[in-house]
Amino acid sequence: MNTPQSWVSIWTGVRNATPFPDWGNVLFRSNEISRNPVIVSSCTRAPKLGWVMHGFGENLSYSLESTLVNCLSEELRGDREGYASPFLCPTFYEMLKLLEIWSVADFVSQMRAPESGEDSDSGLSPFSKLCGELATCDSNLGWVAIMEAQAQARELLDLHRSRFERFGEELVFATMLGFLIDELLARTAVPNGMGFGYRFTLAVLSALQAKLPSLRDPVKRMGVDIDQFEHVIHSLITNCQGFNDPAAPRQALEHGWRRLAEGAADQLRRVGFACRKLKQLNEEEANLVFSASNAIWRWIFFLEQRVAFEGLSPSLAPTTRVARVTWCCAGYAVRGELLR
Amino acid sequence: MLRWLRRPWGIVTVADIDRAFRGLAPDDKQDEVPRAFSVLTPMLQTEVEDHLASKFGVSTPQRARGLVSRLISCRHSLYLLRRLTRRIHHKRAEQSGRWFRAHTLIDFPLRWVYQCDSSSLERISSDITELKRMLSSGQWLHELLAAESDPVAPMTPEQDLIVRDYLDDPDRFTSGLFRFQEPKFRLEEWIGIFPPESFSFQVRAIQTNSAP
Repeated sequence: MNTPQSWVSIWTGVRNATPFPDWGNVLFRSNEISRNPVIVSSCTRAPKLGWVMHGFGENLSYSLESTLVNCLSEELRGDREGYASPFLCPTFYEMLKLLEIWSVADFVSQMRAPESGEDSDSGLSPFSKLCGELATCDSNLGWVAIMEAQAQARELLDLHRSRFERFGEELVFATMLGFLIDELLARTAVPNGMGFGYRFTLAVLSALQAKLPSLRDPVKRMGVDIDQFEHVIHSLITNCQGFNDPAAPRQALEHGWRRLAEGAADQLRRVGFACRKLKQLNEEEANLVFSASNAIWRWIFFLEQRVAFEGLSPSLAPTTRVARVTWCCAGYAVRGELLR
Repeated sequence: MLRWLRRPWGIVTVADIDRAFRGLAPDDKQDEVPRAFSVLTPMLQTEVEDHLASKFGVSTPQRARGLVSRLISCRHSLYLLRRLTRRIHHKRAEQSGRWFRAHTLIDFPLRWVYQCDSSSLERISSDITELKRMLSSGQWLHELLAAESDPVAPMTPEQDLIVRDYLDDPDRFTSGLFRFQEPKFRLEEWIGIFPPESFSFQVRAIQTNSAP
C-alpha cells in the first residue's frame, strides 16, 4: 500500500493545492520523515500560513506543533478565544482528583458527624456549582470555576481534617467504595453496559437446572420451597429460550416477572453464601449458584436500563442523544448475540 | 445506582474488578481477589446499609442510605464532569498578548522543519528534549530567516517585533511562555500525538491513490 507511487500521487495532489518554495526538498524530507518513526510534521496551522499538508505517512507518531503547545503555560494553550480541550489542562484533572478525595473525606466525616444540627450542604457545593456551570455553558467549564472549586475543596479538607483523619479503616473502605461506584457509573451511559446476553444466561440457568437434584438438600435446609424454586428456574429458562429466538418480540419488563426473578436471584445468593460457609457446596457448585444469581440480576438490570434508554426523548441534551445513538449500535450487539 | 451497588455482580464482572483494583495495594499480584477490593467483600455478602451499621456503627439504615446516596451523588457529579466537559474556557483578554507571542513563535519551528538540515531533525527525533535547547538558543531562527530570504508569507510588523524580541534573549522570552523551567516538567511526557482524524485522512488518501 505504501508504495513510492502512492506517495507521488499524494504529493501531486498536495502540490496542486499548495504553494511551497522547494518541492524537491520537501519530498525528500517527507520520505525521510515517513521512514523515521518519530519525526513529524502536522502543519495543521496550514491555512494561516498559506499551505496545506496533512502529514506524510503511516509512520508519523507525534506532532511538533502540538508538542510545543503542550509545553506552553496552561493558560496559553487552546485557541485564540481561550477555549482549550480538557486534556490540555492538567489543573482540571487535579481539581477532579481533589474533589474525589473530598468525596471520600466527606463520606467519613458525615459518618462520624452528629446526626443533626449541622449544615452539611456546604460539602456538596463544589460539585453542584461545577455541574451547574457545565449545564448552563454548553458543556464548557470556566477556568475561574475550576480554580474556585479547587480552592473550596482544599478549604473543606482543611476544615474537616480532624474529623476524618483518625479513621484509617473507614477511609480505606470509603475510597474503595468510591472506586466501585465509579466502575458502576461508567456503565450507566453505555447501553447494555452490564453485558447481558440471553444465550449466556440460558447456558448458566440450564447448567444450574441440571445440577438442581444434587442441590435439593442444601437448598431445602435453607428453608426454601424447592419445588417452587425449581419451577421459577424452569420458567426463567423458558423465558430465555423464547427471547433468544431472533424472531421473538422484545421482552418487556413486567412487574410480576421482575419480582419473580429478583426473588430467585437473591435466594440463589443466600444459598450460595450459606452453603459455602457450611461447606455444603463444593467450589464448582458454589460458583455455579453465584453465576446464576449474577446472570439473573444482569438480566433484570438490562431490562431496566433498556426501559430508561427507550424512554429518552429526542429533544433531550446532546449527550443523552449520543447515548441513544450508542444504544442503537449496541442493539446490534445484542441481536448478534441472539443470532449466534 | 443504589440497586446496582447492592448487587454489583449484576453489573461488573470479576475481570472488571481485577482491572480496576489490582495493583492499588502493593504486592497483590498473587492474591485471588485484588487486595484493595477485599475491604469491600464483607459488604457484598450483606446490604451496604447493614454493613455500615455493623462495621462502622452508623446508627440507622436510613442514615446509612443517606450517606451512600451522598457519596453516589458526588461521584456521579465527577463522572459527568469527566464525561461531558468539552472545553475549558480561559479569559483570553487578560492573556491575549502572551498568547499571540507564544503562538507566533510556535509557527516558526514548523517552517524551520522544512529548511533545516537533516542532522537537526535527526537530533530532535532521537532526543525530543533537543526542542527545548533549540528554543533556548535561537540559532534555528537565524537559520530559518537566512534560508527564507524571500519568504512565501512575509512577516507582519507584529510578528517582526516578536521575532526581534525573541532573538534578543531567547531564554528570557521562552521562559515567560513555556514551562521548561518548572522543576517537575519533563518534555518527553508532553509529546503531542498527531490528530487521529488527520491520520485516517492520510490512510484513506494512500488507499485511494494506491488502488490498481
